[in-house]
Amino acid sequence: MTPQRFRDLLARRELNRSRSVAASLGLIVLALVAASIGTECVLALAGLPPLLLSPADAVDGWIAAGVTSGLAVDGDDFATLALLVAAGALAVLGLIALIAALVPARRPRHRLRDARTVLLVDDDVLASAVSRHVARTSGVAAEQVRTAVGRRVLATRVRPTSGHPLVAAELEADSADYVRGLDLAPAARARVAVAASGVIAR
Amino acid sequence: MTRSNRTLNRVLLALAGLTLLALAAVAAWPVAARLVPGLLSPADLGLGATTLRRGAEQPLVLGAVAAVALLLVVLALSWAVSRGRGGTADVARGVGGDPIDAGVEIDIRTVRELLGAQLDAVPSVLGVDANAYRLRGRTALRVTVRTRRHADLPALAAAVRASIADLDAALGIELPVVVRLVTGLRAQLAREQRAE
Repeated sequence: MTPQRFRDLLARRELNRSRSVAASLGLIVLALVAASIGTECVLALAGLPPLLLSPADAVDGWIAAGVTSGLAVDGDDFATLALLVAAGALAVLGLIALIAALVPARRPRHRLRDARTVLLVDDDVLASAVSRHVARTSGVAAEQVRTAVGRRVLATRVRPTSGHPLVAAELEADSADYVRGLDLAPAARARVAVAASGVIAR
Repeated sequence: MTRSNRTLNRVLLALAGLTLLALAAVAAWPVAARLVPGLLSPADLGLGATTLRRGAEQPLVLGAVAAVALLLVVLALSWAVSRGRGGTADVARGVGGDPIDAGVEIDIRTVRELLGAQLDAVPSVLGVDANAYRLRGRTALRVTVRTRRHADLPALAAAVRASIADLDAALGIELPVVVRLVTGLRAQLAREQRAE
């Protein structure tokens, strides 16, 4: 693996969340299910009473659930209710595991292009830096500027000081220059909006 | 950062999810057969149901199921306990012919001190931490730089680049480095102090 590819691998691992914990939890749930089935099989083999349900009774109950009627908790339909609860719980766990495996699980970070180092900046640091820059160029207090960071957009909202109107287009051009200078990968677009209502100067 | 295989993690998680969904479908099948017209229930399968009943009482089938269950438990637990790892205190070790003299070991604390000495002087920096990891047969450094609110990002990035160049020069080798610029919790909660 070339140094550049190794750096990209390191960046990918830092920009996306690991599923180690989720995979381990999913496998532990499967292991618990397997352990309970295995234990009941061993107890049945040894001729000992089951912990919950013997394999023969489980198969009987499962087959019987298809021929009984109603969902009352008494009598034969207890098996139906138990099956529905178990199926619901398994389906929810399965869906959670499947979604966790398929979504990209990006971390709120951006990469700054650099030939030597994998340089990553947390989105809150990025937002704070852009807010500071816009506050300085527009001459307002830092508290009057808010920046939201998306994957490819940095949206800044400025509340002007009363009596000092601001031109959104100028601020946006300046902010775009600043963001371009940071050399984000992937590149992000800077947007600036000026609020209609201002704040009274302190 | 750990040595865990991320792709395998996702594949196993997807497989676990699909297995759980399949188990849910099997569990709900008899009830679904009563609600959905035309769907055969396990009891309607006649021979299949009889075979299942018989199988649940046969020692060979019970033994095979128990063996597969045990294998699954062992595999799942050994996977779960082998996650993480990869952290090391040895950043580099010199052998004959290296830029580092034979027998010389560079500890992560040296890297921390070198980077700290450089970056602690930068106004936007609150603190620096560094760890070393082994991944795919290589050692990589992971440096975390805690910053103040409203840091001057271009200046901070320049300072970080300069400190890494100095680290390369001091160590005599170029290690793969990941630098993260983060905001400390205290900085997030603090109010901005300005000179009036």
